[in-house]
Amino acid sequence: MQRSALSRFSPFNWIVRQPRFERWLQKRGPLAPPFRIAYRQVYILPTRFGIIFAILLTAMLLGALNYNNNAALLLAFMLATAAQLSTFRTWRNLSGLDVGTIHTKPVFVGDQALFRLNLYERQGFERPILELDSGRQDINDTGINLSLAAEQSGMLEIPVQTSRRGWLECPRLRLSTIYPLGLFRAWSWIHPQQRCLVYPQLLDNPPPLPSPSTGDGKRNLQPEPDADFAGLREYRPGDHLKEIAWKATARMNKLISREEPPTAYSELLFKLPQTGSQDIEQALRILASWVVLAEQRGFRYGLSLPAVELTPDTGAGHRHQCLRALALWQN
Amino acid sequence: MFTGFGIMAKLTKRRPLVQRSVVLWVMATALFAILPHLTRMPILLSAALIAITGWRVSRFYRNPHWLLRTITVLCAVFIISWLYEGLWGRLPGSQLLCCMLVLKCLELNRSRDAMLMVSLSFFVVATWFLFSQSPLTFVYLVTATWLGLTTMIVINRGGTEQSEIRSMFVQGARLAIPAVPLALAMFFLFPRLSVPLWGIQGGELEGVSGLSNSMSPGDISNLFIDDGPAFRVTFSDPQPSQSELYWRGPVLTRFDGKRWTQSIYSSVVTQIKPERENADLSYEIELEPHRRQWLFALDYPAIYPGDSRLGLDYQLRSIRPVSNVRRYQISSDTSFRDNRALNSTLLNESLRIPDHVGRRARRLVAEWQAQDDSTNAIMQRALHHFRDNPFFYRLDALPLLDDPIDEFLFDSKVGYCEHYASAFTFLMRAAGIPARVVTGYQGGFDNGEYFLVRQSDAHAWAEVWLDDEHGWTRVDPTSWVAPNRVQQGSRAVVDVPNWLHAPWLVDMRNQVDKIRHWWNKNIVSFNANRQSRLLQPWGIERVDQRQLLLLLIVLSVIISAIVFWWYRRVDHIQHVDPVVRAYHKLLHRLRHAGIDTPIHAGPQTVMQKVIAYCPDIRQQVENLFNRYIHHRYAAPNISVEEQPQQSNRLALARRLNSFKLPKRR
Repeated sequence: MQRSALSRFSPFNWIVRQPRFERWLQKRGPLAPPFRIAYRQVYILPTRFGIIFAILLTAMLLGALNYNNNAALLLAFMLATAAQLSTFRTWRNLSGLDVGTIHTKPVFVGDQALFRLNLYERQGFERPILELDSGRQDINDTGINLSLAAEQSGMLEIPVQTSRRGWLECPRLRLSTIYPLGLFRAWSWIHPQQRCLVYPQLLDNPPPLPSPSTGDGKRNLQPEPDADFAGLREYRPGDHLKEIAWKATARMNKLISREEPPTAYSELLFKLPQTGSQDIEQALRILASWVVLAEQRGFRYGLSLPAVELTPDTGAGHRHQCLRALALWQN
Repeated sequence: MFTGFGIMAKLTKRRPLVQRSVVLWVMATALFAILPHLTRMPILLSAALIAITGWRVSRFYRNPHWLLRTITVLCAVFIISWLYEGLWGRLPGSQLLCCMLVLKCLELNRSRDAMLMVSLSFFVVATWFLFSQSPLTFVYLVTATWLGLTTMIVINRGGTEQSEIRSMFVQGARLAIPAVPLALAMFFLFPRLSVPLWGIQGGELEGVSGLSNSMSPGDISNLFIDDGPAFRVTFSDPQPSQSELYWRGPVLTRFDGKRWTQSIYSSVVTQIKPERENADLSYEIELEPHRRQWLFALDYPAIYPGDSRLGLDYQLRSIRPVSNVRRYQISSDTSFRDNRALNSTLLNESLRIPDHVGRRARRLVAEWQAQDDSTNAIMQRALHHFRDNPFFYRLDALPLLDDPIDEFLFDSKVGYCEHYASAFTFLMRAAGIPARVVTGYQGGFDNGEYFLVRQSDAHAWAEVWLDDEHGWTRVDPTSWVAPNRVQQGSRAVVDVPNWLHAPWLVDMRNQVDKIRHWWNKNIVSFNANRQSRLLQPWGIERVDQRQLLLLLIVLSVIISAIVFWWYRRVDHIQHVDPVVRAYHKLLHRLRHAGIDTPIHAGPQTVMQKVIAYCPDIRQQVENLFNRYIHHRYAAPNISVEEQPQQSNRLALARRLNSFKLPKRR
């Protein structure tokens, strides 16, 4: 905890947060992937251990100079030059690496949003231990690393804990390496213009689904007795599993879909007042939970919020549309 | 349940624990660093350190409780300070550092600890150079650097497999080897201190052999078996004969019946000294460190280094103890006579003999005096006494217990140079002739371009005050008993096992000493003074430190550029897939055979062309190319089992390499 407090107030982090710094970075090359890391985009500074090592070497050097102990002097120079040469190898570990696009999938509040970064080695030599971090305190990004062999590609994932619905911007990422000696850290900034959609949180025990839309009465909810062959058509790719008429399929030996959804489906239209919650966020959470539940149970469901109207439907795409509307509603 | 809005999750970011392989590497590095120190430690302490190391790498290891760790550290501090009566000084300091390094392994959990241990190991290696700077230590230095850097690489990789050890050492070498030329450039060009920043303590004599500032029987004989070099001499004038090479060391005037010690007057600077113009023999001495102040010279030094003083007894002393190999120019005036009138105190000291020893000797001298009282006659009688009576020069003389003078002169009659010098001086004093003992080295071995004087050439002789004309005159009673000692060197009279005298062995040792000499001359004794004359071979008399620094920067840039270019090359050669390399070679061969394979052509196109060229081996060509296409273009499989094995890879590369086009009919 003490360490994190220290690094929070480090001048380095302060500089990094300045907008001027961002503009300066932009001038030096692209930050949004995909791009190939150019030499101007690789930065290098001694690590904390590098500074300790330098102090140690200075002590060794002063002692050796004072006593004119030439063997110790030679050792100090050997180590100093090896450290200096290692900067080149550290820099080279990053330079010329291809950074691919960042991928992410929508998540619910409370889950971790995963930003996936693809890396491609195309220069023909191995690149051990490439680390990815965000420099942010709230992101558990320690030990995210990857070693690439020559002509190999790989993926790094950075998990970001979500705490609110809406868009979650991918933080500015730092792809870095301290290989080989750990005395210097070379890094490149990656600022993907990528965001992750965060749906409202799902409740463990949401209130029961509201009863089907009784008021409308447009549709007869009772299944017709002999509707087996009513409105059948051949299966088209994209038809939902539930739309397939299994009996007819078995009989006709090919996939048959129903033209009209079965009337056994309840049609639900979720509205804010149905949740019975005064807290808007809580209400959205309940709605999101209902959407997921309704999709699971195979209902047709719709959403009616002020300024948002989604007619009842079913399917993964519809579920996403609904959850997206909830995630971004008045946000 | 997590319900926070805008509440940041508080995370403790902890680095993972190090792997077992990292522990093994780190412990190997630490052990290598303390290895030379172990030889100087008390056996129990070194055994304890090795045991802790062994326990740490064993599979039974558990981190001990912090209280136990603290107690162990305190114990180590206590034991060292008890053994050496304090913690200050080279020996206790370096051994404490060794203990701390090894004890740190009880806290080797994260890579931070591992890195710290490696850096500490480097420091321990550096402390060893306070004890030895022989050419062998250079080999040790390079190996330790290599091992340490390799370990650092392993730590940053997070561990190694058994099969990767070789490649790790290669990676380490790729940092260590290019560091050598750069380090040497810095070594010669980095500004040196001409005056130390803080004091240099002397007086620590542990483990350094050489003459001491006192003499009692047995002291010098210990040196006879020491073949280590004392100093080397390069004569610029024709070198004097062997029997004239008396290298003057400590002059011992006081005698307490057992020991000869230096007079306080030996530290008084003499006012009368040989004129510089009279110097007729000049030479350069490369003195191995002996941690004493005296410098060796032939009688009598006329031109000597500025930081040394010539005492009343014409012994040359440096202001600071010689703690490093030291080279100095010196010129002697061989015809100088130390014949100024003795001052009364010095005279008194040169005559004083304790009452409780040498009663029979005094009676003998009285007999001689009754016959002829002249100084010369007494001296001759004494020397003849040694030659005419059965006196022997042997190293295995019995210890003389109560009265070293009488027991030697009348009972044992067996001894070596210090017995003879001591007894002769005593006889002279008993006769009222001022006399003193001079210790130093006698002779030397002509090793081609220089003279090698070994510890075993240590010698003691006497000086007698004859008269105002001759002053102090050297008399070597040993030469009357064992003339070979002076004419042929110490080896002629010392009984060492025969095989040690085997010509090839002696020759080899002399060759080895040539390497040492070169090393001392160019590396160990390099200092600010030599640095300023660095460019003399190119006609530049003196360079100042700013110019040197400039030169260093230019050289570093050039060497770094070469190293970087080399890195690029090595990287590409090492890391390109052998299959790809073999394929490109194959394309090259096809081009030679007349098959047009443009760069943009993929393997499918190339395969079709090859089949068109030689349809009769179609099966073989298709087989080979399909394997290559599969290797290069098949969807990468995540599962470990199906990843291309290195052996498969090499097999395919070999097949590509061995593919030959049939001769066209």
